[in-house]
Amino acid sequence: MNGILITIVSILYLGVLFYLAFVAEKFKGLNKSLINNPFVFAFSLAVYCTAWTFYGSVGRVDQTGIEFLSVYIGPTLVMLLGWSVLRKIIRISHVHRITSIADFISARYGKYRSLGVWVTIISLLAGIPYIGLQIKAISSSFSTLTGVLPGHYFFQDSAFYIALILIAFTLLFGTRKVQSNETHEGMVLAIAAESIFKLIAFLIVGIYVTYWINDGFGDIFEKHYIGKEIQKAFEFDIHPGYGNWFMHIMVSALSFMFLPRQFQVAVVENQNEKNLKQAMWLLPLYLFLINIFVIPIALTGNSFFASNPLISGDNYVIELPLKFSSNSIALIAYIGGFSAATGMIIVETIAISTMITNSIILPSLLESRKFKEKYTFKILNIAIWSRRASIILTVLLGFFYYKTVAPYFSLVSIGLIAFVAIGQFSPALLGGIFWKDGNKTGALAGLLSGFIIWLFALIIPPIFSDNQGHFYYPALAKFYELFSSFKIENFDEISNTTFWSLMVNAFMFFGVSMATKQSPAEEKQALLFVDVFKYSNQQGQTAVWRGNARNEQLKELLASFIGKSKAEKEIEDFSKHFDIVLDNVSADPKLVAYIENIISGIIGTSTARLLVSSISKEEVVSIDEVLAVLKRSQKILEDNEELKTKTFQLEKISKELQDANLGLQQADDLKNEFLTTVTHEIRTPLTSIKALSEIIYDNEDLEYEQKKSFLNIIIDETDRLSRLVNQVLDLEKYESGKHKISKKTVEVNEILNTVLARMEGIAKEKNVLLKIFNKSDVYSFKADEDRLIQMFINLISNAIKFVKPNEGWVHLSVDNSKKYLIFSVEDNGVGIPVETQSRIFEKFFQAENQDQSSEKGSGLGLSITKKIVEIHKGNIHLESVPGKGTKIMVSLPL
Amino acid sequence: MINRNELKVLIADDEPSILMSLEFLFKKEGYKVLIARDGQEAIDLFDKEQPSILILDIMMPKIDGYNVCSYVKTNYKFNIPKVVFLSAKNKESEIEHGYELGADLYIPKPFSTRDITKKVNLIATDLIKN
Repeated sequence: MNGILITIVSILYLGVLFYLAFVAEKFKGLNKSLINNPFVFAFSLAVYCTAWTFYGSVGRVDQTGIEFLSVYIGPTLVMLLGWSVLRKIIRISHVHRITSIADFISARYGKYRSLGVWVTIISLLAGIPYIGLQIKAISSSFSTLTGVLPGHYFFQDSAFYIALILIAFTLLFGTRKVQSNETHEGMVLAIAAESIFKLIAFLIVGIYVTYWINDGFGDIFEKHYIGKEIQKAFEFDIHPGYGNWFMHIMVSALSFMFLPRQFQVAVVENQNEKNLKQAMWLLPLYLFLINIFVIPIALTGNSFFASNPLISGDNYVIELPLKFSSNSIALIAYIGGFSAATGMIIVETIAISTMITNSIILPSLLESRKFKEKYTFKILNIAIWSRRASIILTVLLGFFYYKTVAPYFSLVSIGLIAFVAIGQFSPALLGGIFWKDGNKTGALAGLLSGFIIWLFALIIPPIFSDNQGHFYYPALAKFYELFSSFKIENFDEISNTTFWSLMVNAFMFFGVSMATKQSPAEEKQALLFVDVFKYSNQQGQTAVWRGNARNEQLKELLASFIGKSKAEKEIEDFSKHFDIVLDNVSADPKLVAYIENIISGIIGTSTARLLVSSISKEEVVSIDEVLAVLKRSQKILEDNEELKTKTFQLEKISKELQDANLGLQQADDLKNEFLTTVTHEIRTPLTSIKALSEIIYDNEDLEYEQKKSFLNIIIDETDRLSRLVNQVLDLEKYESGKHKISKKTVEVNEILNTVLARMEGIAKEKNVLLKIFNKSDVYSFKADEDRLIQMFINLISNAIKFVKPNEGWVHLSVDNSKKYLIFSVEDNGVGIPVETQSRIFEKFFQAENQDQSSEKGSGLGLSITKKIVEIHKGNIHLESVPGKGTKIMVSLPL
Repeated sequence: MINRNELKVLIADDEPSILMSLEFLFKKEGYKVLIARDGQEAIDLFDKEQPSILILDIMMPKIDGYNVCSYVKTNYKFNIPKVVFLSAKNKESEIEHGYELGADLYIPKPFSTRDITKKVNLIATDLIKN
């Protein structure tokens, strides 16, 4: 393939990343974060998958079988089981504004500089080969694609130019502007995007190999599971053996947390510790997906290329598509590997440059009094330039490592060797956040002894021996023979070294810590780290400081980092919040601690410590005083929390009360309205009765017929009155739930006949045709017979009221569905006006156009009917066309 | 001097039995009695016959008694009729509202026949005098 095309694609790809990073930075400028979500967080964590994953996994299947999975099982276990440890590290780092892992460890041990220096050195020693490995991967994938081998001199190697472009990219996003804290939103978004690219690329290649070249997983095993060598891939217990599995998983789990680049994305760049919650399954899912096609590619590649010693397993991902002339797939594979490699280089370099600057360069510069006097307030510029220089240096070192030292080590071992080195941080770090008595002497002793073992066991032998493992110098051979008894059976070099280095490291850490004393500064930090959840919330915590500092100098110091106006505002806000008087010459201790905290976020805790102590006269604060202050602040935190909960509860209760009150008021209003209506309804017949009785009493000369008609009305009205009273009481019972229904098996026909018998008389009186149709095939069902009859009488007498005499008809019919018995009462009466149809079941609602000759209803019949339907768990439904008639349907469950 | 039997009394109520008893009472007192079963009928009849006294129920279909009252009190500048409300609505606020609309009398239901005839007769006497 054309080298220029590939170069253009690579540069275009970096351009896209650059654009993404630019957009994220812009959003950050607008105070919006594109990266504060669990998905971006999880994808950025996937920077763990480097070119080693992308190309190397396939290569490792060739050599050690499914053991390649161990380095993904480690991180998976960390996310699933160890997320609470990560959360604690994140919380501590946010509270103390930690900028790197070196910063973290030195901050824990009283901001002890030497620890930071050694952590940085180890990270650098582990990181540079690792970066070299990435550059090598880019270079070899490039030459595989183009078919042109890189030249002997560095300027003939495309990787050199790629390294230069990466330096530029990293400089732009690692140190572009003065930032108030050490986060790089642009970089993080770009890294998350890279993780998506490499995953998609690998999946495409995997699907291509599995389903295009072959016919799925089964087919691959049938066709390609043939080579003797490859078959060992699935001899789980022999290669590499349980012991190696365990050690590899452990060391990769530790590295997943403590590699500088992982610490950078997981802790320093973390926007919100809550993002961990989703990342704890998102990242394992990612790791699963990126590994799913490793074995198919390895098997297929092995069966095609095993006989060709020029093609290594590491290149199968590109060689396979090339063999089948699928250039575009090969190019996608190249971009995937390119993104895996560049992602690692960018983050690793930023992390390492921060460590070199904050933990080595700045503190040692500040040692010099001359420097301190001259540059204390200009240190930010120096920090930026130092960081830039460190980035350039780190990448170039990586490049030259790849050009010179790399051939001494196999590809696989570079990654794992780095892991073992990084693992040395774990006793000091994990011990430091769970055990208050760990001190700096112990931490340093453990770290250095582990480091020395690592150096002697993994680094020196390959450099000073030939391919067969024979040392060039007999003295050296003799020296190593002394340790031969430490070799554990069935353990490979990595496992062996991991075991002994971590064992000695941890032993030294605990032993020396117990044998030596902590300084007050250490005691304080130990307390703040171990009990971080007790003394802090997510916003921060009280720092403890005592001494003499001048407000003016403090302000000047802060201004040198974040600018004058921002510094003034920051100080003002803080003083307002804590009621601090700024007029005094000497500064409030709280303010001093706060400013040190801000500065820590920019140039690291040790440097910030040095700077603050250089402009102040400090006093030693005893651990008892620290504890007292912390307890007070904890009390305040708790009180605040309690107050918040109480306020919340009060608000909730008062809301409930309001609701209840409103409900009561509404119920009261309803009751009042009901009473008013009832009294009105009672007064009406009473009025007639009283008036007519008086008339009869006062007029003895009334004609007989007239008297009889008046008396008749009185009787009717009395009936009406008692009916009303009965129905009101009835309805009241339904509404208060006092009406218990007694369901018994009733026969449909019997009910219909009873209703017919009771209503026939009234219908005949008005000469209305009353007919019953039973279309249902249900013989009997469960219901309250009396209520049901009452309901039908209500409905039918209502219907009769609205039909015209002589020509009217009323039909009661029954039908059924699977679950319901459906009754309908239909008439050809005047119908109900559309606008009042919805009110027909309201209490006391009376249609206006009823036949005047019928007895006057109470307006409660339909309300009661509805209640009867409801207590049978049925439905009632009305259809009416004015002028044509009305149909009321009642469906009751069977 | 006009005679009582030249006075027209309009009675509006939607309850047939009440209507029947009032009709009987006032006919017996010698008035010319007109009958309406709802507010609309009352207004139509009023426009046609111009009765001097109205005895109005309040809760009636179509147009309620209050509206009938304000209709006759505002639309007629001369021969403004006397209005007597006769209602089961007897909350203070409702009675006040009736008087605000210009009613001359508000009698709560149930009423005493002797009382109502006496009071209406007094109104009639006033009318005849003036």
